[in-house]
Amino acid sequence: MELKEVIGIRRSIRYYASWRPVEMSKLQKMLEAARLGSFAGNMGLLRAVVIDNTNPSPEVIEAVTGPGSAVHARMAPVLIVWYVDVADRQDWADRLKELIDAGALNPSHGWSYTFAENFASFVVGALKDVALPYDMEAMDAGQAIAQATLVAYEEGLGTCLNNLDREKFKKILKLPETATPLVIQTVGYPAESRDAGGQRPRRPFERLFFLNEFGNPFPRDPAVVEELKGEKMIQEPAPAPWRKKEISALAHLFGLPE
Amino acid sequence: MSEVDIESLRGSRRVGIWLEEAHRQQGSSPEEDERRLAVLARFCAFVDRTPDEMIDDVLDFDAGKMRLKGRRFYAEKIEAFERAQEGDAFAQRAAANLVRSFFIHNGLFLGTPKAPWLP
Repeated sequence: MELKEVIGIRRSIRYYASWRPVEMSKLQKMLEAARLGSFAGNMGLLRAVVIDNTNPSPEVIEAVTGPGSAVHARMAPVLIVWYVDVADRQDWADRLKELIDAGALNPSHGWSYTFAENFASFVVGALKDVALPYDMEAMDAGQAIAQATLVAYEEGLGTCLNNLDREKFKKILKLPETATPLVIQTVGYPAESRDAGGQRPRRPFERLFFLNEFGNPFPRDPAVVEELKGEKMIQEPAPAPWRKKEISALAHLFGLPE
Repeated sequence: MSEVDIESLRGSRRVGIWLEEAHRQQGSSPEEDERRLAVLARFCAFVDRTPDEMIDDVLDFDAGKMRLKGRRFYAEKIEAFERAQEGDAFAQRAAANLVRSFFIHNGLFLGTPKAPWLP
């Protein structure tokens, strides 16, 4: 499947085939994709604990806090807790030097070993009392998780991101004090149809993106939209005519209210 | 300082850091070092400062701070130095960039203006 189609078919999946295990190789591919994400200065603070949720632990389910999230957290055979560990900020100078050695950061942009050491020392010093991930670290984590998510769909899986109780998960997973759980991702084969009733609604393009200044909408070329439809990135909008019946069937299957 | 002896630069701690890093990234070449040092010597004469003094003018390592006034001074002086060099724009830029390289490998990026030959 091409990248654009994977983006197009991604839905937040809330009904999982709990009876069908997820192959370890597919989970590894998700983690490999996250590892290759873009990390500012190669800091790379994102970590994850993959939980075998074949027999859901009540303690774990109780710590999944998003509205309705506990329902699909019980169904999904795998849960991934993504977290950031700020302890690894300490070796940032070495990470920057790796980028210099790799030819990613170069003197043409002002990078040298000495600059890397000075800069890392300054930033790490400024963040020494900041236990939570700062903006860039959180954004890096989000990008990496997005890559893992797209790989999951390319592998035929479905996922959904959910809120969690940070303190409870730190305790359950025995995470270090320096860790901040960000999100818990349910992972499994969808019990619902692949397109889950169509592409979910989004705010109008023109309200989201601007050219040169706020208020001047970025022009949306209908020809590009058609091209993306052909490449299956833009798909039939939800709800498909049969979606309500599918939900009804799924609710019956899983013994859930309608 | 009207003229600077190249040999005197070799004893500078800051020049040592520069050459060591440059060698690690670009490989060691005695001829290239001669060229580097000759240009740096000209710049030292241009601003009447030693290499170590130039870095100390901008970076306060004890306090962990950068002196913005010093940074601006050297950024402007390098641009003036570039314009004062003989040869075409490429040669002028190449000389100025060697001086910038000296600052970069000592932890200080002064910025590089857009090349005059670019549209």
